[in-house]
Amino acid sequence: MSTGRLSPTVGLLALAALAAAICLGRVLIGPAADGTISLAWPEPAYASFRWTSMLVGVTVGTSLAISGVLLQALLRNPLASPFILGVSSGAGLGVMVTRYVEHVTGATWPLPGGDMLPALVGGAAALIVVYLLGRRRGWLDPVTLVLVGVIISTICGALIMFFQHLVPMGLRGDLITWMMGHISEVTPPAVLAVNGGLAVVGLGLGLLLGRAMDAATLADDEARSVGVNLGPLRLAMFALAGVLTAAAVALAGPIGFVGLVAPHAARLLLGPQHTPLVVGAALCGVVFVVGADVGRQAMDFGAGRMPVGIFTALVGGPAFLWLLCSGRGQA
Amino acid sequence: MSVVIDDLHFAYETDPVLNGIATTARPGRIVALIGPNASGKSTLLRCIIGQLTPARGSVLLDGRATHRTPPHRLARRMAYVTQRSTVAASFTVRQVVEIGRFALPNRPDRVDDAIERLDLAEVADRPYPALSVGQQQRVMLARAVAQLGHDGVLVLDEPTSAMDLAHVRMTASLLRELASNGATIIWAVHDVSLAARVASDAWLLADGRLVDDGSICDVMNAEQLSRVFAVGFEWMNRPDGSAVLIADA
Amino acid sequence: MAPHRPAGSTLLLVVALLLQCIIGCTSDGAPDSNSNNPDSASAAPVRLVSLSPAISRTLVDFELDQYLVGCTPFCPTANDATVIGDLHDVNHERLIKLAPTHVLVQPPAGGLSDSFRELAGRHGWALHTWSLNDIGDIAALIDTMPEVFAESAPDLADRARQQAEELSDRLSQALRPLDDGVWRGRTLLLAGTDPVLVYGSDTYLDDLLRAMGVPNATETRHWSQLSMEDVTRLNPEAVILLEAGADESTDPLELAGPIGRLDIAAIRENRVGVLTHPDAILPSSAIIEVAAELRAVLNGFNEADS
Repeated sequence: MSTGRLSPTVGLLALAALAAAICLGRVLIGPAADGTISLAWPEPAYASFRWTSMLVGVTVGTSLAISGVLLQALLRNPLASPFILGVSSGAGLGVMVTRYVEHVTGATWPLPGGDMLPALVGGAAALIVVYLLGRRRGWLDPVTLVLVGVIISTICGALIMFFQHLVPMGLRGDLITWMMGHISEVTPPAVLAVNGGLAVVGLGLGLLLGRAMDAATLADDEARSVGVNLGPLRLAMFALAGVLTAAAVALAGPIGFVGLVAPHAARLLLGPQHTPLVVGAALCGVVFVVGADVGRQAMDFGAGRMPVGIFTALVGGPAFLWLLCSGRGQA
Repeated sequence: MSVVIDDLHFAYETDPVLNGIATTARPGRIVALIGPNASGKSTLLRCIIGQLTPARGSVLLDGRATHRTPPHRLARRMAYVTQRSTVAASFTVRQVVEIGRFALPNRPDRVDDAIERLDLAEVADRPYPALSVGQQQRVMLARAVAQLGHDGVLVLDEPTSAMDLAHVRMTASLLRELASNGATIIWAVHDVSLAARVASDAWLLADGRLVDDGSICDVMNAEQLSRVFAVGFEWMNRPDGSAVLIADA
Repeated sequence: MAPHRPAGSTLLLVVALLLQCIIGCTSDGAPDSNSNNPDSASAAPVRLVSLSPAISRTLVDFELDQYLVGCTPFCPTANDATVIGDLHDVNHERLIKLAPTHVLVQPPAGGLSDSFRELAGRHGWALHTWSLNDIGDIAALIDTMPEVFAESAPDLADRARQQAEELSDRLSQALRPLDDGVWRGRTLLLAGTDPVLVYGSDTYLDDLLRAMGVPNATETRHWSQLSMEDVTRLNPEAVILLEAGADESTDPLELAGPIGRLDIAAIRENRVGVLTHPDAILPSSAIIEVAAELRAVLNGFNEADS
């Protein structure tokens, strides 16, 4: 398979997704709905919503996809995904604890950016714990890291359920809504700028680390012998993946499958070398998240717009199974 | 470039593995590292490449301890191939060989040359995981050859264990050629007869101690080998006048 | 070195502990007839268990919550009734120890399990169930509550009938259309602002709006998620946010978050309100108070408009 010939395909798909995000009509609910799908430049009243949600989609897709590439290389495991480090469950716990404290104290905090701050704090806290416990002889160890990540995720999941158990049904619904993921159309520009900036930095650092990640696919002894300083490299990959994931989850909730499927799709199209893979996965992530956000806008099963996290899981799950069964998603 | 091993001690936790190893590998020489299972051969190699930190003593390259040398600097002067290499990605053969140039300037001619010398041109674009173990061993040797300068140190841990005889012979002549160009080669090998044919020097290891080191003729005397390996050895003369070492196994 | 304890005193200690256990068990096993029942002198002691926060909330309005001996963790009752879990996870042992006379249940969609009915029959609990899906169900709950006590406590039933009559009147009053001339534009009821979650048809709050003659701005059903673009397109003339327990002095625009920055009629014409009643989404007699709050908010829009 000629990867050079296929690489424009991803770019074109990404452009198509971006165009659809801006131009595809969304009049499917409400009195103005006429059932037709239109394609036109948005009226000024709606333009900012579409640009904002598109940019959030681009940011989240890029961040999660690059994070997936980094973690699959770090953990030497093609099944690794950004949520394996416990970031999403930590973020969920942050949101749930905030709800619980509000419930107990009777206070309501209209925090700027909604659940973003508690999610960020929770995600970062989980990341720090996983880092502290995932080391051997002072440096991160892939196997220990996976085990610690899974266990921290499970503990955070249990704590989420514990706090859910303590609050009435209405509040339980709040967290379930958050877990479904949400590409906001009204994200404050400053928040978008910080997250977008992080995604760009992630892309740049991902490209810089590309060759080292290639070399790190060798066994540890051999990787060191070709000149890779594995300890600092693994720390950099972990920190970058963790920060990108935490920022994406804080911005849009835990949107599943992006970080798992995007690197595999890119690998299928562009081959396993990490420098092109980082760019390809970022583009696949953009196609996946922005495409899913456009797709979900066209779906209403009686409860309004379908949450984006459900859509990505429903599309990403079968897509991943196809990759797995066709044996083409190998690392 | 000489590798000087200076009173090297190493222990996993409290379990001593290497005890006071002291010897030198010199440029232009192929050193066969021989010894029974669990005698400490692989551990010694991992100390040489700086992966393990000695409990006492050190391995010096250019007067600097290898375990204290930053990997990217060490990689310019020392390459390492293990017995069974894994690559956690579906790289092609060429891409794996290119990894050898990670810490060095990109030299496609060196990569092509290494592929050619290890007889890999036909499989250069095939995925590494799809190859046989013997072919994978040649790919890793090519990677090391692409990395190594003419005066570098090549550290090999059983790199021919799964190769067919023709490729073992090809590898042997490649090692001789590299040595004649000034490389220092340290080669852990189980096949003592092969070592006797190819190497110029030998280090004989038993229970973490250096039993003997020196030229191949001195170290590989049948009596000493029989004592260390608990198997009979015999030198036999061939009609062409050369001698081969035969194990009584 | 530890002081030596004579064997005799150890034995005494063990006996005392055993006695304490036996006494404790005996008193724990029998229903505590004095704990919650101020009318214990009357014919039959009434011991209520409610497995529904909505039913418990209605008992409060009936002033019958004093008879509650067991309830869910989320029942809004002031007395110290024992928490016995909810219908999905009842602590059966604790429930049996409470020896209730009546168990009041809001059954799940699949109906009450046979095993629970059998348990009630075995222990002689009178089971009363109400499905609470719309305002009609709440009216029925109010009307039929007195009959729970008709046989076992006629005095209580009589008193409850008076309460029921009063509550029914108040409910009818609460549901009357807004006064003539009062503003009644298309109103969006919000449960969340980002993502936007709205109360569509088939919800109590939609029932309340319609009863007052105010159209719901959305035609979606149940509890729906909309996009900001949908909200802008719907262009509601008023938005009302549900924020249970919010400080009434907080600026509604601040609570409305991103909705407050949309270019819609409601924001331009300053018709943003907040419902702060803590039981606003409980299908109970609390809906009378919620309706009063909603009416006040809608009347407030009228003043702002005039």
